Amino acid sequence: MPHEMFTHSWAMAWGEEIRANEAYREAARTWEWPIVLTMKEDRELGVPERSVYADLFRGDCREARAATPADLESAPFVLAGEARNWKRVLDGELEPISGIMRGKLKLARGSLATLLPYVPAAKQLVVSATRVETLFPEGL
Amino acid sequence: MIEPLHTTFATTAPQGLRRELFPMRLWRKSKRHGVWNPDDVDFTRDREDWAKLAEDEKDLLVRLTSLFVAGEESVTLDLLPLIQVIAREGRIEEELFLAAFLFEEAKHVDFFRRFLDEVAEERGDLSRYHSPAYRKIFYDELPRSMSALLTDPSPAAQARASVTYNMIVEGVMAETGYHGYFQALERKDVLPGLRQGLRSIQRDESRHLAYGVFLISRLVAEHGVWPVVEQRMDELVESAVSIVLETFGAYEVVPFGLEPADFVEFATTQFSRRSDRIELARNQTLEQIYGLPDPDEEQSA
Repeated sequence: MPHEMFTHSWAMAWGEEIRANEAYREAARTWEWPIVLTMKEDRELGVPERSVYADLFRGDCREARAATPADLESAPFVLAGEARNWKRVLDGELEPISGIMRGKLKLARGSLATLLPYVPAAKQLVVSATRVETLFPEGL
Repeated sequence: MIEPLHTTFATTAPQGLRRELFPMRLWRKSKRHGVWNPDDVDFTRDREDWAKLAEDEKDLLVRLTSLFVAGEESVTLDLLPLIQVIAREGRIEEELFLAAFLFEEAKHVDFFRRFLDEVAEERGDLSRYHSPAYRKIFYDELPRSMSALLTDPSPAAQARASVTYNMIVEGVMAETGYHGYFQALERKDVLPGLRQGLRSIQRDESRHLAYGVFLISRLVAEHGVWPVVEQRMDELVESAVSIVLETFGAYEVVPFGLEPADFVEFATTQFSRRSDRIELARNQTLEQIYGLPDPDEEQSA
């Protein structure tokens, strides 16, 4: 069943894919911080702002769900972007680190310097996300 | 194979040299600013300062310089295939600037080696400082993408070469490196000769970067190679920025109070600005590309 991008059900399905991803488990053995991904509001596309939260700890995804306002305040890493750029990430057309370097995705909280050693883990998070059957906003 | 004979010359044709073109503006700046002499830089106080630096500070400066001197040697060795492609396309205005470009890179090699010889008095094998990401870019990706032009002068190959050379090597690695030098040296107000040379080099490099942005934009506007540009940036930018962490990661406490995260942030800002600039070319005409002012050009004025 397809899930609308960055909704609660999408986050749950993503969390399952992360837990099933052996390559992620290996690459993220020392990663122990929750992350929030935010899709910014796009009035042209009729898309409201949506954020998902993933509690990532030493190769595991302990929880994944729609982010709460408290998550947005407290998560050490918040990565935000427009719906069209997130779609490009999920389609495998835009590497997340390159997206950050080019300003297509913005680290609203957290440091790229901390993320860089975890590039293989970040790539596996994307791989897990591409395995979720995603319903993109109409017009993308 | 392009027949290497001439049937006409721009300088004897009615149009002459098109002095209004962007590369000619860079050429004029090179004639004014690119003629500094590395031999004129006075290292007297630098030698006194060097003797007073802590060992870890000396190590960081030799490390940085070993990255720069080999990087400058690499770009000097690897630029010729691009100049040849531009020449064969008959773009005389661009070639005039590229002649200065190569001359300036040669001076940069000279300057950094002079610093190592006369101030740091470093004669050992400095390639020990070349980290895996550095080796990937300078030992492999740069020479490979530039020498590919010898057999494939297509717009796509030119775009791959220029993204590697200008956007990654000059735009991320070199610019971030200058930022590192200045942060370290100005904080302690030491090595004025090195700083003087670095300022001249940085000014030269800002023209080179402006040319790179122009060239890639021209290729994007004329041949629609944006997907190639984007793919090449994706392939290399992570390695380029990783060099920052590999360089500073060698120290438990980074000398001069430098913070690696500052440099990653600096590299990101510069890179995204230029990437945006080039992306604009997707919807621009060649006339706009040839005529528009460039932020890098303004910096080098």
